[in-house]
Amino acid sequence: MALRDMPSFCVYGFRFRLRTNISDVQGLMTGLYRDFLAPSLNGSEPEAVIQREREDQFSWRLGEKAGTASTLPNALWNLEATLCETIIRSQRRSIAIHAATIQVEDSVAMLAGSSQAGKTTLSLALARRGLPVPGDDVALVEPETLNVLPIPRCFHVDDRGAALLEAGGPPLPAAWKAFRFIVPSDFGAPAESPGRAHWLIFMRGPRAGHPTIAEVSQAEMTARLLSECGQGPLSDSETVAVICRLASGARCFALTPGPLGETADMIATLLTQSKRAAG
Amino acid sequence: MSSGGDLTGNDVFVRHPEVESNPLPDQTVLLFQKDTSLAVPVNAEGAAIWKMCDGDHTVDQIVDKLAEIYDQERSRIDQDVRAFLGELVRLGLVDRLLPHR
Repeated sequence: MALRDMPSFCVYGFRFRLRTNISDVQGLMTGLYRDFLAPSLNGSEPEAVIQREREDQFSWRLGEKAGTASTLPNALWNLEATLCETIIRSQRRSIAIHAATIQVEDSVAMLAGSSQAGKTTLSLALARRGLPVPGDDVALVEPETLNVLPIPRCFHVDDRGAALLEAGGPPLPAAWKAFRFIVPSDFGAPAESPGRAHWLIFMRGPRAGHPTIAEVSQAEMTARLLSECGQGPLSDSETVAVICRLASGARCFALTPGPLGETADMIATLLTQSKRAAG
Repeated sequence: MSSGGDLTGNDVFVRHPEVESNPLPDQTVLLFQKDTSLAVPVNAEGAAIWKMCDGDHTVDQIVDKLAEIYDQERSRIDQDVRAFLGELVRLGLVDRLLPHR
């Protein structure tokens, strides 16, 4: 089947054009990057390609990176992860932090923690409590404004996480069952830039019988966030200074998660009540 | 953590030139060792000690200053100061100078 030209996107300065021969892919990728649709530059931008080679083989490619997978979800995940890496690498100033972004009116909470800390599952539980989650994995921080720019990603929910989420609310969107591909817009994440971080929360393990949250110093949070920053465009000292400024304007907490519902209720209450108090 | 038990009251410390001190609004400080990219958060008491690692203050003088500020037994402060300075030395954040005579 011939590859069809699809929409072009510009995600925080990185332009690319989607091409695919799979009809469902356009809808999934457009849903993921719906706030970043951009006019094509006469086809000169890099192509993000995903195509069905045969019934049980899918290939994907972005620039020089390419691969194959036996399922469409795996091919989608690999392409989407490569796009995320490329968006991060393309930044000239902004720092990438491994953290979920939760929108609370005109400001955000950043939820940091290692890969297995449970950020995605907790983020989704918060989304199902009415707090938009525009990104569950990586956010860029602009050094000058300290605005937090979440990189939209497909939520990587495993079967256990899905079961936990569905136990506490309605079923996950249909795209999860069909493609293992659910994205922030499935939960109504807003289009506008979410602004500065007023809360920084670091998830630490192991999980406990009940969740606890404790305020931590801004210096401790800065050190924690630095451990979640990759190699970026700024010097180490500049990065430290930016993260210090980020922490300076935020309330900083360490979260020991407990059962999912209890933990999500606690965080949702913390964010909404302190926002109301501040307003 | 080093107990700092081998420090004497006359020991003097100086901040390593490759360490940046980043003060934060809640009075804590993030120390950043540029050579190794080590980031060390320090609480308000530690920040006060860090400031006195200026090549002039002896361990005893640092303890005296903190005893004026904090309502704690001097022996406890002495123990905490030595432990903290020992840790700073271990992490390469300060250098120990020859004792003042």
